[in-house]
Amino acid sequence: MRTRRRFVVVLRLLGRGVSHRRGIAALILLVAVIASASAAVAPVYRSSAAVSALRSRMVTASPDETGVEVSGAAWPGDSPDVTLGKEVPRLPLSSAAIPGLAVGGPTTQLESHDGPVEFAALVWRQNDCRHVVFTAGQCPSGPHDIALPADAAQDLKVALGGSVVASNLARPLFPPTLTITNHVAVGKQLNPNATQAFQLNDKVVGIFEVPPSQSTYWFGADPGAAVVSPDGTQVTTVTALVPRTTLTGLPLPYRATVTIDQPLDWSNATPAQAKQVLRDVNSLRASLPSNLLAFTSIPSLLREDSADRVRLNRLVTLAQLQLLLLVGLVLIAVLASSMERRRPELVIATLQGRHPRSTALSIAAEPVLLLALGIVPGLLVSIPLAKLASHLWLRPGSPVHLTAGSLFGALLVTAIAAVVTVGIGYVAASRKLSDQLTEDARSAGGRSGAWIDLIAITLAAAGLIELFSTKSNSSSSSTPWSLLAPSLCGLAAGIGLGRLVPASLRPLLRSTAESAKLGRFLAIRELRRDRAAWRVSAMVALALSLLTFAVTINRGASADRVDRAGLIVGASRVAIVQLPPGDSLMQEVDKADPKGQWAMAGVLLDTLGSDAQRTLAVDTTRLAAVAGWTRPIDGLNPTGIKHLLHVKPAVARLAVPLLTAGDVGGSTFGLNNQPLTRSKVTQTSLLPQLLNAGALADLSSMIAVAKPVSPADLGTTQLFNQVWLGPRAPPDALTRLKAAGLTVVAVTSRAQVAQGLERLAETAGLSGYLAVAVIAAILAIALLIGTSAAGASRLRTETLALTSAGVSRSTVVRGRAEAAAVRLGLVGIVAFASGIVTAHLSVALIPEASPGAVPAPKLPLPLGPGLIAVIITVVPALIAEVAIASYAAKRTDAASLRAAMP
Amino acid sequence: MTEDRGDASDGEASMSEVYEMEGGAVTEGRGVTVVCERITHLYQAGDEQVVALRDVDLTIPAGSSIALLGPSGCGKSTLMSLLAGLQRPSTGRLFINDEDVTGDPLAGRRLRATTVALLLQEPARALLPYASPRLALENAGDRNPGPTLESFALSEVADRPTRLLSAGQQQRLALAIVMARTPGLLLVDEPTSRLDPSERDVVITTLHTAARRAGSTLVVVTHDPAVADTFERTLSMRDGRVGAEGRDGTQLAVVGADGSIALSGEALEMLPPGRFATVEITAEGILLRPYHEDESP
Repeated sequence: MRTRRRFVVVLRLLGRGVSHRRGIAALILLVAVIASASAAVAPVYRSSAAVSALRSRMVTASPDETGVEVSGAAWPGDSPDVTLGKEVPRLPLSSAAIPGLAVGGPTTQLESHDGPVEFAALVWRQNDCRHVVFTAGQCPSGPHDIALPADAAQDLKVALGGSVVASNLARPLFPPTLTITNHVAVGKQLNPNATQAFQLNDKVVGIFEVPPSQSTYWFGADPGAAVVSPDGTQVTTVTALVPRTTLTGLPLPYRATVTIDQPLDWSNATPAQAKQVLRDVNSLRASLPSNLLAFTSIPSLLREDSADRVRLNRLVTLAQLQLLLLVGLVLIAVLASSMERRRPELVIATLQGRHPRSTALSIAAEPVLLLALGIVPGLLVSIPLAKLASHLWLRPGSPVHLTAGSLFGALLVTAIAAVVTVGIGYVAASRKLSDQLTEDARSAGGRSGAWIDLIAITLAAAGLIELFSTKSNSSSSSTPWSLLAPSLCGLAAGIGLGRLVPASLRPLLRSTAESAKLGRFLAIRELRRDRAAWRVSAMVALALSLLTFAVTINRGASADRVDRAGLIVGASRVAIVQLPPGDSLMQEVDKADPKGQWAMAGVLLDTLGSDAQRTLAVDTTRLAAVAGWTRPIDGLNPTGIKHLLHVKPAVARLAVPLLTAGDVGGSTFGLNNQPLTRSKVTQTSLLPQLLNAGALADLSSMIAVAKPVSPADLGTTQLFNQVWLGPRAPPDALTRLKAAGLTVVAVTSRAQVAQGLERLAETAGLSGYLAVAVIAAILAIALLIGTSAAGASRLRTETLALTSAGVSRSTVVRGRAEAAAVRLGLVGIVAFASGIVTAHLSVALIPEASPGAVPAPKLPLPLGPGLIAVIITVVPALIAEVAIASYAAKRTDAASLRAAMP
Repeated sequence: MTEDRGDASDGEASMSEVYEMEGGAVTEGRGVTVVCERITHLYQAGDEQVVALRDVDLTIPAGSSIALLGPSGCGKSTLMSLLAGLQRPSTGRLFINDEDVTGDPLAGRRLRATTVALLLQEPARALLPYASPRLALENAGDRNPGPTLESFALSEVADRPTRLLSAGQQQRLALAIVMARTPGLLLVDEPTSRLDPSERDVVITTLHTAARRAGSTLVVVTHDPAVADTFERTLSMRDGRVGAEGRDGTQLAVVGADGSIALSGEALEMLPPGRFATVEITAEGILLRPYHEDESP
């Protein structure tokens, strides 16, 4: 009963205390909310960014990379059912994949009585067509059933119930006697003796549509993609569904490809689903018989994604730690200020002989309760913040939700804040009674403040030394912890200012005291006296340094992304085109752009199962005018090229002689520093080296030396015609290409690719860093304005005293405005310098700034954006501070002063 | 004192009278005996050491009341803080109820938690500004604050926030709060310095009454001789020493540990510092006379 009564009394006192100190209580609650939100937002953002990065990476990757293809060959004596047909159904892809079987590839043809020949891939789908949208009929089930895509049925002029004949090719796809004029056809030889005659008469039992979402990757390859034959023929491969029993009709030996249809929609995939797919793929690989090989880039893509995520987490965590450092400093300042309001409780406790520990615990109850109350709102606030960041920087539709990490972070920060509160209370309770009665937190914090200053400066110096020592031998594999330096350096610079400026102003104080410049004297006096303002300004310096750093690094990384997009695409836009049989691509391009100012012919190599498509050769005479690299490449000098191709310096070294091949008279051009006579360069010797080197070749040279390719050699390699469109391409460039006789199949733009790069993990990490820096800057400026407003009553009293002594109010306000301008101006300058210096020192240590570059390059970092960021934060803060000083000076009558008294 | 009484409301008894009237109900046994043995205390002021107390010998019997008088800087507050255990003497020994508390660094806190209560000069500094007198008393452990509020004349403002009370009411509330713990030694620093005479009288009366009822030993620091007159003993301090003691209206010089005597102001006029004096022992006592050069043999 007694305890309960005591509890009620304590509760009533707590309620009245909070009500009495509602200003500081509201401030503590606000900071608690911000602290919880700061701790929670990063895990939420990290989680969202991880999903966004995964989806972007997988969607951006080619269909060959994100699918699974199992290939093998069957030989006389082998049972196809054993090697392929039997194996496929038991492949342990569980629910993540549905097996399918493609047989023959482009070596199979379909014919009807009335229609032309269609090149086809036969896909086993016996009674299992869950991912097929039938417009008529059904999934094939009988031994001579077949289902056709709608466009193939139209071309073959067959309807449901009609019949087609599937056979191996009646003729070689590419005649060996063909003279190559403007294309190169290559391939790898799997089974040169594979083709034997076979023929199946099938009844059409189903007609289906290829869903748009699966159109680019349905059975491991684009089923509607045109394959360019050396004679210019557009070979279109269609996919026809056949029952499993069809396999038994195929003669041996034959070459077959089992393709696993991957139903997972990567644009909506989650990390958990990705892990499941990875497990499935690994399990599949382990279980395959020796004559089957699985091709997929899913493991490597997910490995890269995992590495990206580690970097993303580290980068965002680094930024978050710096934000929490600021929040912690703000929290300490607010809690120390709140202790000033607890003087009666401290004095009473001392007079009653209570132990400081007990006093600290009881006195901390109120702020700790407020801190705890801030957890839930903080968590709730973190959601819209993360949503905003997600909206700005992440892939649309990226999920934003609270995670266990965010809850843990908020709880941890609150717990640490609670311990700090008790610590501050203990220090206050341990002071002598006379100190408790007379000293305020600012004067009492002298010694501990000096220690904090010393620690901050030491850490900043250590960070800078670390940056200096590691920038020369940087490894782009990880982001070093020394990247905490931006905020530490900003803080240290702010602290240094707060100590040096007041000390250095002593002579000026004397001289202005004796002069008529009263406003200047007041300003200098204010700068020397107001240590609290300097301390808050140090926090502003921390935030602004972080902001400058983040803005500068992001701007540099953004420019690098544009560069990389240019390197990936090659020009402002690159179009995949088809041309009439017998025509020359270079001639067609010349027709569209006779002056050679904006269009350039090229050939794209697409090897199924390899990592990516890449341009193999271009018309080098037009490269300088058309290539979309952001910096001039006049003369194609090696240094310039090396710089442009910094992503792969080794590539640049090799690319130069190739690119200049046309300029050396055609006698020789080098590769690997080995001069080769053009006549000796054959397709078989040149192509692998080009592929390994990742270099571009001169198209006309390639055409001149290329050999015809036998159909069996084509395999999974395809070539596509490209037209590069340069920056000076007219708006109707595509129309002009069409007028020249080219059919534009697809267009890729640099802007589109750059946008895709923005959604990758590295960019998400840098954006997260920027988001955190923006939050820190807003918090610091709000703190500055808040403390100015809180100090308004002091300003009023001082103004009253000064005006009583004959000083005009305008002089008082001018003095304060000058002091604020000097203080904030200096803070802005040192923070900007700190941010820029740390950015320049550390940019090579941030792999996210220029992904893929080894070693990371020293990016050109612009000063402007960082400077603008500092100005747009400092100027409003200065205006607010002057406005508060002006307002306080106007309200110095006795009545308003009395009303302001606590 | 007469003038002060004249300021009090008509028909109101004088402080001494009230004290006499209400001082009857004494609780025996709560008060503690305080003994100071040659206490000297120094503190650091910049680069210099200042002697705040010098060889103070003092005995305060349990349940007695003492007023400490003296000019600013004479050592009253230092002595008070030593008695409250807020500081430890540089030399000498301090006994509370025969227990030597000088050497124990934790004794001060323990004493304040159990035996000693200190009322500050400005009581508002030790009052929760947002708590009402009733709530403050409940917080101090008074489970039935009604009678206490009545006896300390605070019933009318029982539920008003402390910060809105007058200085006298705050002083009485502070007293009520410390008395709720029935301290053995009540130390009060300048209880009337900011009060008008009528408030002063009420506070002093209440103070004496409360101390008597609790049986507490009472030590009060004051500048006001009128207030000092209400105490059984007055100790006049000067330059860190207890120079004189007043008992029942008689001023007694106190012989220091080194045999020195602090002269009263009037005696000092006759025998200013630096002058010689003759000391004669007579049948009636000791005769101190200024020494003149022409008296030399």
